[in-house]
Order: sequence, then C-alpha cells, then structure tokens
Amino acid sequence: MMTIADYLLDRSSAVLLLFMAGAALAALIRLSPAKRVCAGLAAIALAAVIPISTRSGFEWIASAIGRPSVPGLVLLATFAVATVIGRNLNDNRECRFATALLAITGFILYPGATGYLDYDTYALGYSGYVLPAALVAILVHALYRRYFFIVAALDVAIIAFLLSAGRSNNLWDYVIDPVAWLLGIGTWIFLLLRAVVRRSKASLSMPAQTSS
Amino acid sequence: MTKIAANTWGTWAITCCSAVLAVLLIHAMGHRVEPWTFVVDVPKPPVRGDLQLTREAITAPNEPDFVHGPSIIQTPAGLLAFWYRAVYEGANNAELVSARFDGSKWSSSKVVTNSGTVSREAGITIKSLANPVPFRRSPNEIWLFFSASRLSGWATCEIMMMRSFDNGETWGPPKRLYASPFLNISHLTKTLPVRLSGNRIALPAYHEMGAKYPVMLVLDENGRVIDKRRMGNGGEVGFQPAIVPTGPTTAIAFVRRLKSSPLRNILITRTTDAGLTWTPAEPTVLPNPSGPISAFRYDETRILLAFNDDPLTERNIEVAFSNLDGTNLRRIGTVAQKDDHVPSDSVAYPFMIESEPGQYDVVFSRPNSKRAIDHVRFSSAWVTHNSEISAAQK
Repeated sequence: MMTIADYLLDRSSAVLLLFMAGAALAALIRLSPAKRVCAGLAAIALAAVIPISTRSGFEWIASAIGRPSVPGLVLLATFAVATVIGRNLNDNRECRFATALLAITGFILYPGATGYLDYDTYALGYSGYVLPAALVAILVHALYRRYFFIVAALDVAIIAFLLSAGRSNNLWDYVIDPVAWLLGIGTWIFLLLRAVVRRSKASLSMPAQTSS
Repeated sequence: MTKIAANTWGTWAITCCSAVLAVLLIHAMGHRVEPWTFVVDVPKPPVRGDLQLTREAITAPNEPDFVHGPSIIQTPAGLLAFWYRAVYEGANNAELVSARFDGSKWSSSKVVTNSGTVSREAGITIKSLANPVPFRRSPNEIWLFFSASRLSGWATCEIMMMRSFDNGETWGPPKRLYASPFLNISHLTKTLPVRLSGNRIALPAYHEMGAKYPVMLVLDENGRVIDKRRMGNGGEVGFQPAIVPTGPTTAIAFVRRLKSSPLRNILITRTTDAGLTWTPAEPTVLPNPSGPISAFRYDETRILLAFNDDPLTERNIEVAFSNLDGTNLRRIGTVAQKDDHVPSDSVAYPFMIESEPGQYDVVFSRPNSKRAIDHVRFSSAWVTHNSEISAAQK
C-alpha cells in the first residue's frame, strides 16, 4: 500500500510549483513576503477546487508531473523560498551551475528515452559505469567549487538510490526529473535573454556617451 | 576561529561522505543486474482433441459498454479471462473485468478493479485502464499487468501490476512499474511475458507517444523494472511485440505494424544476446492491418501465432506456423471471422495460449459493432489436420 511519504512526495512538485506561481504573481505586484506566502497557499487551494476534466486541477497537475528527483526537490524548494524572500538566484554561481547541469543532462536523457533518438540513454541508469562516473566527476567539480547544496543533493540522491528508497530502480530517476529540467532550461533562457537585453542597452547608450 | 574550524570540518565531512558514496555507487552499479538468459519452454503437444473448433461468447449479449483487449490464463478451476470495459475506448471510470470458463460455459463477469480503485490505491489519479495481461508466477500466484492512462489518451499510460495469490479470486493493490524517466508515461503492455533466468521475467511493452516502438522490460522477482531494452534498433518500428524465445540467448518478436506504415505486413525483429540488442524490424510475408499478434512456442521447431490475416481490416483471425527464425511462415486455418451481415464488425486483438498440452484457446474482441469478447478453442488434432491440408495445397 501507499505510504504517507509516497503520497506527499508524489504531490511535492505540484505543491511547490503552484506555490511558486502564486508567490511570483504576488512578487510582481510588490506584495510583502508574508503576503507572497499567502498568495502561494491560495494558488494551491485554488487548484484544489478548480476542476480539470473530472478531477481537481491540483490532482490533475500532480498526476501529470509526478514526484521530483532529489536535486529537483531541492531546486524547487530553493526557488520557492527565493520567490518569497525576493532573492534573485540567477546571479548565484552555484544555482547557475545546477540549472545548467540539469538543462544539459535533460537534453542527454529525454530525447533518447522518448524515442526521438535511436539510442535510449535511460538504460545507462540500470547498471554500468558510465552514469556513476559522470556523477562522480560532477561531485568532484562541485566539491572543488564548494557548491555544497549540489553536493548534498547528489549525496542524498545516491543514498536513496543505494537504499532503493524510491519506486524506480534507475539512477537517472534519482538525479533528474522533467520539472527540474524545464526549470533549468527556463533559468538559462531568462539569463540569456537578460544578457542580450543588457548588451543591446549598453550598445544603445554608447553613442550617446561618445557624443557628449 | 571557531567558525573557520567548523567550516573546515564540514568540508571534510561532506568530502569524505561523497567519496564513500561514490565508491559504493560505482561498486553497486557494476554488479547491479546479473546477465540473464531466456527460459525456453518447449512443449511436446500430443495430437489430441476434436477436429472441430468450439466457440463461445464470453460477454453477455447486448453488452452496453465498449469491451476490448482480452487475455486469458489457465487456472486449476479452468480458464480465467480478462478484458477492459468502459463507456467508450479510453473513457473515465474504466473497469478491468474477468470471467471463468469451467470447460462448458463462461461465468458472468466480475470486476477486478476500476479507475477509481486504482487511483485510490496507487495514490495518483487514473483516467482509464486497458490491456490486462496475466502471467503465471507460481502455482497459485498470478501477476496481472495492465495499462493505466493518467491524463488523456493512451500516450499518457503507464504500466501497473496487481498480484493474486489465490489464482485470481482476490487481488492485491496495484503497483506502478517505472519504465520512463519522462513522467513515467507512454508505456503500455499487450502481450505475454517471457521467463528469464534468476526468477526474472521479460515483459513485452511498447512506447506510444511520438515515436512508437517495442520495448522489453526486465522485471525482478518483486516486479520491479531492473532493465529496459529498446527493440527494433531505433526509429519508428511498430508496437505490441510478441516475444518468443527460441534458445537461451535467442528469440524472435512479431511486431504490429504502424497504421501509417507503407508496409502492410507483420514485422519481425530478432535477438541473439538475450534481448540486449534487437535487429531492425523486417516485414514478413504475412499481412497485418495494424493489429496485435499472439505467439508462443508450439514444439521443438515451430512457433504458433494468431493474427489478423488481412493488410487493411481485422476481418478474420488466422492461425499460422513459423519456424524458429521467422523465415518460413505458413497459414494453418481461420479460427474467427467477422460477421459480414453486421456493419463495421471486426474480430480484433487475438490473445492465444496453450491452456493444456494439445489444447489452445484464443480470445478476441468485437469492439465496433457487437461489443463482445469471444472465445475459440481448438486442439492439436485440428492444427495437425489443417496443417496437412495447408501443406498439400502448397
């Protein structure tokens, strides 16, 4: 039978995503952190009462996205807290590294696992040395850079995998999930767009400076 | 000073912890999945039984709901058939139902589970259910695999499994099989599992969303997926593979063609390394209207298969022999035919087993017009007789 931990983990991505969406909207209209928390909770409550098809929107979203990986859960929780307190994580080097890593890893895993490539990289997560070696390399780099959130998240993911704590027997499912991948991509699209806008603003202001 | 010392200790602690975990991970992944081989069951069917086919309807007349995806398994009390039932294909609140055959008549249907119960017991919302596939695990234990759609359409399915320890009288809660990293969706099952060494099984499955292709899932003794192998060597291949082991490391799989495929034949893919890799799918000489194929080992040199013998429509169900590498296929006889007087009738989704030595049972659906599940029984005497006629005609 399903345990309470399974039940909560299955819904944790949906809860955090909806909370983040509500809190982000509240942040846009410059509400206080306390009101952002209320807006986040209101978003969850709203999803629970608005139906999609024959079930609540919350259950629909929870069924659609499933449970997060350990790094995915850490990333979602970190983004949710950052949204509430109004801290911009995009300039944090560890966050940039984590999101880049998730975005790249997702591009290695998902196209093959969903049939868009002829080779299914998901099989590497059942046995063999390729995926563990890549994880060790990431751990070493993260330790060298003192990215301890990343190290801790990967360590917990490895412990969960070694103990078969999740439902899956595949290492990939412990280190990445589609929501985390999309967050990684979204973060880097935002960073690139911001860089482009800043560069274009700088280039526009250059002639004005020279003429004065 | 104290803060610096704490930081240093913390750094060392997390570094040591990571190093230990890295070593454990590499060690565990190196020895995680022991190589497997196919368990080859080679029956020696005695020539027995009638030369006549027997036919019964399993479902009650005037069944109001859509019924489809039947399957059967032999139990000490006789045959046990499963199928799914819903208002329409893929509708909410679908049911998996079963009925028993005592040798002369089918019992009324009994609900095994439904979308609501599966949702409650699995803890996620399930829209619809389909394609139950029973597998005999031990003398009293049956595993029932089925596909469960989470959102809308079969592309959002995942595979689940229920266990019965009393030959299908009662069933335990469903268990989710993890086959995909992408939200665990788009894997379905339809055909008979195959035994592997080490008490493991190979569950033929297929990927539905985007590219359709057949998959072999390797399950451990607890029903957890411990490996997954793509069949057909990449690309859009086909689906619903019927795997038949021909040796400890060799097997062939008959694959349902894609509806969009210009080839209108049954496809075949082969393995020589116990399913680790499969050859590109090739067309056989037998036609296929994009319907599933049911196949198993008949004797030392032959495979028996049931299929729709038409390139476009599911108008009949034919039985044929194949040699062990699938290069020589020969029709034996027709076991079911659509009713030409009933508009849009079809005989679909054949599922065939050898229920007793020399006794074969096929169940199939008439989903479009009659809304029925039917059963045909034939014997090895019928097979031999028709095979001789077929050979003489050739």
